[in-house]
Amino acid sequence: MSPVTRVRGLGRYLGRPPATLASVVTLVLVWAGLARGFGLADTISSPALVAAATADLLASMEWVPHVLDTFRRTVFGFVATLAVGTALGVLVGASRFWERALGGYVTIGLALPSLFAAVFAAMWFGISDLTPMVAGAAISFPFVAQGVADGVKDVDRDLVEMSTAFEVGRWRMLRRVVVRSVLPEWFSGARYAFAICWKITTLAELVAAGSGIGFMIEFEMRRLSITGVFSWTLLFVAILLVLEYGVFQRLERRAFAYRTEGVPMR
Amino acid sequence: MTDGLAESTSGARADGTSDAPAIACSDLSKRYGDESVLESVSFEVPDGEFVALIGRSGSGKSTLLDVISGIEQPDDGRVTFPAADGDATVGHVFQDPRLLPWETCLQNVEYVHGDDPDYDDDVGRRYLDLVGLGDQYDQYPTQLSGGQRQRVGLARALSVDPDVLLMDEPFSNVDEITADELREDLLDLWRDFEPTVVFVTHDVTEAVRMADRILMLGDGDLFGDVDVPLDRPRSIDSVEFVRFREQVREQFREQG
Repeated sequence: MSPVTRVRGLGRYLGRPPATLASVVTLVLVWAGLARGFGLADTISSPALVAAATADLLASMEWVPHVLDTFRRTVFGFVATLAVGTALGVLVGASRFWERALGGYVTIGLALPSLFAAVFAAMWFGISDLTPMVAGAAISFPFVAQGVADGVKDVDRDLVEMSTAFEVGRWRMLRRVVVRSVLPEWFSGARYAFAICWKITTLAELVAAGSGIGFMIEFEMRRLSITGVFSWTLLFVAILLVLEYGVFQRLERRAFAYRTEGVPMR
Repeated sequence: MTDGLAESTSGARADGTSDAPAIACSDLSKRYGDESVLESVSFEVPDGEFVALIGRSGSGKSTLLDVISGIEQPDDGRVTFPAADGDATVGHVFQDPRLLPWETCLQNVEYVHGDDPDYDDDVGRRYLDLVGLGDQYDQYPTQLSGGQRQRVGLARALSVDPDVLLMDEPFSNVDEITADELREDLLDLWRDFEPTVVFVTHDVTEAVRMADRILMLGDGDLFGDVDVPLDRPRSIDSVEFVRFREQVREQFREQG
């Protein structure tokens, strides 16, 4: 059996496309090569070392309270993101006046460096839960706002006209036409905003927190433990991937099944 | 008026009295900015009549239909529904079916019924059966062909038990074979349900085939109103059909 066939078979067995598996394997090999081949073992811990340290970390259960703290802060920041972002997006999308008045802030928000939000939040709220929550929300709400604004502008006027022609009640139309029209963009913005929130919360924990993944990365950094930093970063990425593929993508498939059911006949 | 085309006498009886019309349009005018789309358009449609409204692209056909339906308000004139004591139930079939893509066929029919206590899913299924979609209740529009989507639109419009059915070039987006089937099905349903139909088309053959009467619109002005003197069922290959169709086309060329 050729190496390619083996990789394909392994990929199917694991339920992942062979190309994805191949890219992960390549990444690990390059990583190992950099660590050993260029004599950078002190700067880039080898995959084997990181794997061992991560296994120890998971077995110790030390990670649980920190992950829960980061997750809690992220969720609170995300809820604030959804509330502010959705309201702002509806205003900006539905009204030229509000688009002119507030649209610029959305654009600025999209471009604002994450570190600014983390630093400002730290200066205002110090070492507290509010710092990562506010920082996460501040950076991520423009993504929801932009998505919602685009969705509101793209509401199919023909469907609104059809509803008017059939004298459908206003709330019924809002619920089953406008909200449903906006939902895909809202969901897309929300999904991206969650990832941003997760990232910025961790960054803010690096700057000013007493617990959390970011706090532990900073702790390992102060100990000059590259292996430790890698392990916590791997955990950070793994949790996000689980949420992305295990939660968000499943929700998306269920909520928007109508987009993928069957193939239109010609 | 072109030789051979008699002006319509719809709604008028020999004794000079007439039944209340289903639709009465009086001096309708509509402007978009400086452009006049409808100019003092007046006509009546008797109850149960099938009227075709034909005109070139940009002649104001769809605008006239939108004004009748209430989607647009006229700048002058008014539309009334005397046969229904002013409160007609109006069904619409659009050129694009305008279905909610995130809802099934059955849900799309149900959508226009609001809190109607007389409506339930059995009613929706019955109308979908009538248009030949008995196996597609739970399918989404993306799973249907263009003709099938238009059938859902027709089922939706008929399900409101309309006094008046407004149809805006409903078969122009499907292939000719499917359009032929849909025309025959529509005529069958019209005979069964007897709504008053206003059918917009740019196709003279389709108008002659389907309608009792043809209104001709050009540059927002109603310049022709003729009865179709052909018995049903009509054959588009018959001498009488071809002759009448050419007379209508001739009038269009002269006045449209």
